[in-house]
Amino acid sequence: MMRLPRIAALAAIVLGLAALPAFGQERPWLHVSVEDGNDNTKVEVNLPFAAVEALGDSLAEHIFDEIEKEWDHGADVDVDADDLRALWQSLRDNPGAWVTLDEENGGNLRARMDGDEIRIEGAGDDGALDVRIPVAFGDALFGEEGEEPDLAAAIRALRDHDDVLVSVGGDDGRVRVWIGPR
Amino acid sequence: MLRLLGILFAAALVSALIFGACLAACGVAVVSVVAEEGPSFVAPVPLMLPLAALHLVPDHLVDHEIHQDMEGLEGAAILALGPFARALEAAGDAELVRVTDGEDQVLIATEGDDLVIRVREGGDSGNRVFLRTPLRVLEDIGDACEASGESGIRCNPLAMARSLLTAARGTEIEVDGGATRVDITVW
Repeated sequence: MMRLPRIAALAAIVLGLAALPAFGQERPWLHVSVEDGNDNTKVEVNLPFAAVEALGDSLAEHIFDEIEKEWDHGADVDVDADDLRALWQSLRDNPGAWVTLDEENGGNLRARMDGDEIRIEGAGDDGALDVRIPVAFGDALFGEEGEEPDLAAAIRALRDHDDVLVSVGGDDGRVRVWIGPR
Repeated sequence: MLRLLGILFAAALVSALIFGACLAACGVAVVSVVAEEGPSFVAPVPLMLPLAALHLVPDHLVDHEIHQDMEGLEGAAILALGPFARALEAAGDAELVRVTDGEDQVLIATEGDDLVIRVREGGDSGNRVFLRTPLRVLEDIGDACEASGESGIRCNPLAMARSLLTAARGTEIEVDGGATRVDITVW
């Protein structure tokens, strides 16, 4: 009979230890910072990632509709969803190998798969570009061949990124988008 | 004669009590205008008046829902308001947006259960706008609508109006233009 309280106490300790990571784990936030060095303008946006996911669940499908409308109306874009899916698969199939994205414009933009991220780097008149996209984002976005892109699932896949997503700029200004704690 | 006066007095007392109860239950918006030049005034507006007016709308109009064939993105944005506002509320106090352009600044934040917007134009002595409103106002706007078909949304405008008038209690609006200041508080 005396064993029962000791077993109960042990179980409580184990459950408590298992719960410790949850207590220490802060919910992620999406941060955006835009600075224009020329006119001293600064914009900072901070959103709890749960709110971003709520927006993604409602707006994702319609965002793609808007993008398709822009493409159909002759926007200055000469790639389509199939091209992007093929590029993504090429990066996945050749980890570590650089792929030039803008050969026609001098080859300043390139991408490669680096661990669990797709890195896109570039340099130009506006400064340096550094984009880090979790592989899970692209996999969720493009899905299997023939499937419709799922932006809502791709946004949810960003939740655990905890790093810079986009950093672009130079002396005249900078744009940073990252996911991290509050 | 005395009996008649007694009845009239009792009726007046009961009416005042009922009016006060309605005022407390339905709320009141107090509008204050203070001007350096010209008249200043303070006007209480009982919210029971528009609420009572809504109750007088015929049933067939109350049940009528407006089918808004909005552009897909616009309708989806309205539908997203409810979940978006609830996520903000759950996240606690936070500075959501800060825009700084020289001496001009816009600040949007959550404080408790409220959404707070502060606008400053022209530095500390310039124009200022302050708005505090419960996040549930956004929730009620979004929750009064639902998806309809592929790209439309269906909203019940009267339900939305009723919810807004109820949820807006605690709203404060201040506009300070230097020479004139307007304060609106919903109790």
